[in-house]
Amino acid sequence: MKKKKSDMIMGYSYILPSLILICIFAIIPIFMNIYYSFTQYNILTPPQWIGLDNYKRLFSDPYISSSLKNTIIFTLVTVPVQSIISLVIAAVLAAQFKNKLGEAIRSALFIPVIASAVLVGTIFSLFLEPSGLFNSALNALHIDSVNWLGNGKTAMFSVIMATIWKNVGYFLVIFYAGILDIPTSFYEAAEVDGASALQKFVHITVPSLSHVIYLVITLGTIWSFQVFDMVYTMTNGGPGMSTVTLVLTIYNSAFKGFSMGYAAAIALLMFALVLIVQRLEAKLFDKEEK
Amino acid sequence: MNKKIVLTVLLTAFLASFAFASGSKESSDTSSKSTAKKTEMLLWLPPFASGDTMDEQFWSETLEPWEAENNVDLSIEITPWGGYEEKYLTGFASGDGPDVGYMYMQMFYDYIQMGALEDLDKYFSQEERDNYYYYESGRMMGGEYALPFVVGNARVMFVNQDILDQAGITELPQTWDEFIETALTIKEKVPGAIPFAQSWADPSIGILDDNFYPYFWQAGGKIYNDEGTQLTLEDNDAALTAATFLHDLRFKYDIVDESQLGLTNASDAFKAGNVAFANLPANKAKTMDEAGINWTFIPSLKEKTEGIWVASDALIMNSASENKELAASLMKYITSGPVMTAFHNDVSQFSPISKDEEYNDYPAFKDMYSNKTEFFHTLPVAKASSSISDNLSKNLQLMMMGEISPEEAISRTMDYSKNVL
Repeated sequence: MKKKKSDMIMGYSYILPSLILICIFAIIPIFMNIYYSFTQYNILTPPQWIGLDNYKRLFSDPYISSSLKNTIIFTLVTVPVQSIISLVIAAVLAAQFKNKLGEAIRSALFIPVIASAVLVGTIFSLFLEPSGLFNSALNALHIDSVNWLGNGKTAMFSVIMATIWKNVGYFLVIFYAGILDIPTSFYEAAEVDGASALQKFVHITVPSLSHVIYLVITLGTIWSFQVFDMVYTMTNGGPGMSTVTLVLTIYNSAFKGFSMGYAAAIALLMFALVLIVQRLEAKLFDKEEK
Repeated sequence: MNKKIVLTVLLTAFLASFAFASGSKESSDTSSKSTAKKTEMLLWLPPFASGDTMDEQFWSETLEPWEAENNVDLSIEITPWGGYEEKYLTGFASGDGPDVGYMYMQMFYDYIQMGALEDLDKYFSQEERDNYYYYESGRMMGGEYALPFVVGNARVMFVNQDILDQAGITELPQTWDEFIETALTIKEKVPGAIPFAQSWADPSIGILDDNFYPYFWQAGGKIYNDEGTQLTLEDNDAALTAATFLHDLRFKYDIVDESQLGLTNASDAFKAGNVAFANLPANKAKTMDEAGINWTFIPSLKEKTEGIWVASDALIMNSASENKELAASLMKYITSGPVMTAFHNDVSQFSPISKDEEYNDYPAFKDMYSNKTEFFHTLPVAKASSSISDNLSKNLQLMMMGEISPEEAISRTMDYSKNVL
């Protein structure tokens, strides 16, 4: 009993420094955000309590409906595409390139992950200009130039493309580690039964990676809801409102509209949405395992 | 026993890190106190020259005599235009804002309301005020909160004379209808030429200054009421007239084609030499000369009247500055005749702001700055100006993309303004 208590105190003592930092920089700000969402607050003057006015404003603000729609579209496209691409590449690397070349490919694909999102966004903006690299390549193939960032439909596609390019390397590494954990005996048995590469992938690799896929999709979803720097550098929400996202709306409300309280209300809305989506994903994966 | 040793080491290291951090601050404070004989001040200015280094170099050298005379250690930061407003808000909120800064019209209302800007009247004698051409333009919301610094830089219609010559056009258009006719003639007779360049893909609210407001004022419009508390785009048909004109340039006459919707910088397009008309800031004149463009300009087209956008950006004093007298002295020095002469000659050409400076702006615009001032418009000081401008620019972009009508672009902006005002 004495030893158990001593172990407990030891455990808490080990986590205490991190816990203090998490409380100061994560937990307390969440409660502060909840408070500010019920106030009119411009940072330079004290907050004034206004009750539910900020939440009422959410229903009539055109930026909210546009940013909700855009964020959902962004998430629905980005998460599956980046997950599938990274899974396929990881499977190919694990199967065919377990050598120095495979390591080099993994490292090269991880470089965009560590590059600043602002840098990636800026570079893609240059590539996607009317006279940029992408249109030059299209013209070389006798295809007309595309107005990538000036057309509402292609602007969102461009942001998604840049985001996927940046994120694939990260999820590739996670999938690769997961694939290496799958016992080789499964594949050997499948080979004896005459399974093709595709069948092994579908019936062995994917089911064995369900917990990793859940992690990748959860992380991808949260990151997609948080998309800001790529949109800010590439399009700033335009053209029109075709790429306005929730976090961009929070940012503009706070720093351009001087409405920290309203921005806090939007942030809470986003928190609630991410929580709902994450719970749905958790239920979906629990259901499949059962 | 081993666990206790490890725990003790970890806790000691954790506590030591806090002690070191506070100790470092104290020691740095102590060291700075021991050498700080000069008053420290901070100046924020935006970039005007082609590179930040040039701006900072110019101001460092130019303000050195003032620093020496007043025993000031002046830190100069050139604030990029990207994220400009955010930098000011966070700077003021954190107490790290400048003693003297630079603001444009859309920024003033909220900062004055929040008490962040100092009223300058008590720091300027009547004689000093009289020396400025535009001192009274800085009077807003009951106080003199702005010392006009960059006045002018009118948005004018640059014209590529070579393209007009190729099209056989001998007279510059003066009205909207003449402009359309001229542009269509160029489209027909000069293959490959772009009749009119507009940077509709520019994500900043500055696109309104080039692409919309001149036409809005030419149609007889007024953006806000006198108090700056209500958007008045629907008080008459000026906004709709201007929006329809722009919409027709794209969809009725195909003068503005889809490539313009991807353009972020019309001046680069004009500099390339294949654009006939472009609304650009007057300070691009030198750039066009250096590019070898044979250009002329139209101060303003005419619909109901003429209307010319002009800048009225200003120096401000932070109400939290601990050295207000020195800040005022700095503002007077920056805006003095010799300094402004050097600024306008070496960094960026603008109109003179005081009587002790000669006209150093581009010679071609002198007549306009002298004789067309009745048609000059600056942006009003108004509540939520930045947000509403952002909404208006986005709705106009949607209109030019064909997703909404001109009527919807204006009405959506009005609806949004009611939401934020």
